[in-house]
Amino acid sequence: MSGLRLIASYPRSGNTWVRAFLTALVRGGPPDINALDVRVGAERQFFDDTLEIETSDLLHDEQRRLRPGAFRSAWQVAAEGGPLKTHDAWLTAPGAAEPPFPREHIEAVVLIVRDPRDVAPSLATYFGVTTDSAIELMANPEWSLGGGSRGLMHLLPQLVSSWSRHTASWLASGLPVLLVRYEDMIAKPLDAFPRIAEALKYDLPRDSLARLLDATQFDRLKAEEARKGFRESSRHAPNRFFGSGTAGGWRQKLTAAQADRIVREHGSIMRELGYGD
Amino acid sequence: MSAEPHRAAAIANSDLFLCGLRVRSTLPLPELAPWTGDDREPDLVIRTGAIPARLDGAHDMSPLLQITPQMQARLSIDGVATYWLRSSEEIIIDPQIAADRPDVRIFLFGTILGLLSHRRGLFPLHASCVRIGGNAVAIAGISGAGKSTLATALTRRGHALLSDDVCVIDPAAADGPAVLPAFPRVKLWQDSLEAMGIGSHGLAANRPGQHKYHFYLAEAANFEPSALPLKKIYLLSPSNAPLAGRNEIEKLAPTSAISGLHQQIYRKRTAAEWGLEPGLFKSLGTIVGAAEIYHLTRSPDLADLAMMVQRFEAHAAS
Repeated sequence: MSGLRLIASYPRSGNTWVRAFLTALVRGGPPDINALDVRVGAERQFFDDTLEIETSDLLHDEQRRLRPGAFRSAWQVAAEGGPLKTHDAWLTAPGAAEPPFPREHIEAVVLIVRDPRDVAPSLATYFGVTTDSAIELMANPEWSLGGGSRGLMHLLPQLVSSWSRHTASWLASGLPVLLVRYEDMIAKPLDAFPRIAEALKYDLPRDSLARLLDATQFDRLKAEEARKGFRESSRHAPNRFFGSGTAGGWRQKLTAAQADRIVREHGSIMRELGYGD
Repeated sequence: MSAEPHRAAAIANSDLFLCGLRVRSTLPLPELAPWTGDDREPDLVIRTGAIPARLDGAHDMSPLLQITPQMQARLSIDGVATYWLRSSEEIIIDPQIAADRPDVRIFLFGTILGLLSHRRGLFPLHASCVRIGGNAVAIAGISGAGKSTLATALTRRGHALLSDDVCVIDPAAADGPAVLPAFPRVKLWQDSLEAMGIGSHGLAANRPGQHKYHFYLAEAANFEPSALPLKKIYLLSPSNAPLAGRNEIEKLAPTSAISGLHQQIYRKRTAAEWGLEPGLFKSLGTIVGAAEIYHLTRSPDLADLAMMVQRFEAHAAS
């Protein structure tokens, strides 16, 4: 029995693009973007079903504490469903005793990273905030998703943390991590996507690669969203989930001060990943 | 004459109503309406007491839940209470906090009610339910889909509530599947309360510090105490964005209806472990044969609630 396979990334870094590719790979053709195969590792429904209680009746600390335990008791079920997408950092969240997935059941992690200067404007659009606020979020080591208190989120609270801590946490996790740069998925798809598929234990017939890449071209997904709508798009930017899908767009979108601030805050990890000037 | 009959009568007078059952409880259960039916012995006794750390022959369904092949269950919520479904007629609760705190009752009226329903051959659906035009209309869906909000908004337009969150269906009722009313209380988050113009001041929090509240429907007319035939079920799901070619309400073909409803069987993993799946599938067939099943997509924007409720009402009454 194989274990949990994770697709980890900071938000707005290409995770959904990878999910679309894997869906096309399994289905053998263009994916329905409203029925992507890869599920999210924080879906409340999974935890409700696994724990046999309504996690909405638990406090955030209790939810964070029970998350790894739920995976521990149902990891086969979770693993059989295919890889899981996650925006969590590999950190111990408040109230928890360990990171969000049980280490001993993780078989593979694909970590997708993207130049934080391109992440910032995309994050701003997605959450309906200014670029400066997005840069602020990316610098906040306590930034969490799904932790709203006034209403119920369909995802459990996830500690995303700052861009640097998030990225560093996975790289230092000691887990079998394959690091893939978003920029390489654009520039060298024939190399990047097969490596992702292999790390996640998919059988990728070499002769179907070109066809699958064509079916999940970024522009094609974007056109599909415009035509049919995308249920996972943000309420702040309905049906504008797939953005520019480019690398280096920050040169037009950020002020010099904004770009400088990101480099100041994240420069050391950026250099490590080859995100120079 | 001894004092004994008086005491018995006094206890009997305080018996309560839950899903057609006569309930006698040593734990305060302010959610439940008083029993006004016949003078039968109680169907269910709920009492506080000690609970063994491990049930005989128990199997761990999760870090929180032990179950046994004899269909017993032990649920443990740290810092709140432990619950023991001991038989179809007895539930024991060991609170770790004051027994009258609302938190103690959440899990009793959640998981334990679901498992009790399975034990009693009933069909618990993850749904809220209202009376519309003399029939039961269930709104099913995952947590956060908006079941309680829609049901409460409907009660504010004169439709009586039968249940919130757990909708207990008697699939074998004489005139077809019927919903057994639970109690006149809903759980609502702050944002939903605000969207309906209800202040949270004075409402009990679901858990300490949580902005989810217990809202009691005070008017008798807001609660339907009789079992009603189940005629329509709406599977509710939110969508963040408009999807082309999809209507807000769409009728489901029988196969999608069955798979959609199956997903919303409350506490279905334990039921399957108890070997109840064949019966549940049979019940699903009966329900889909008697009720119309729809998919209902809602906007995430609570500002759209009032209009959506009116469209829903017109559809459900038709």
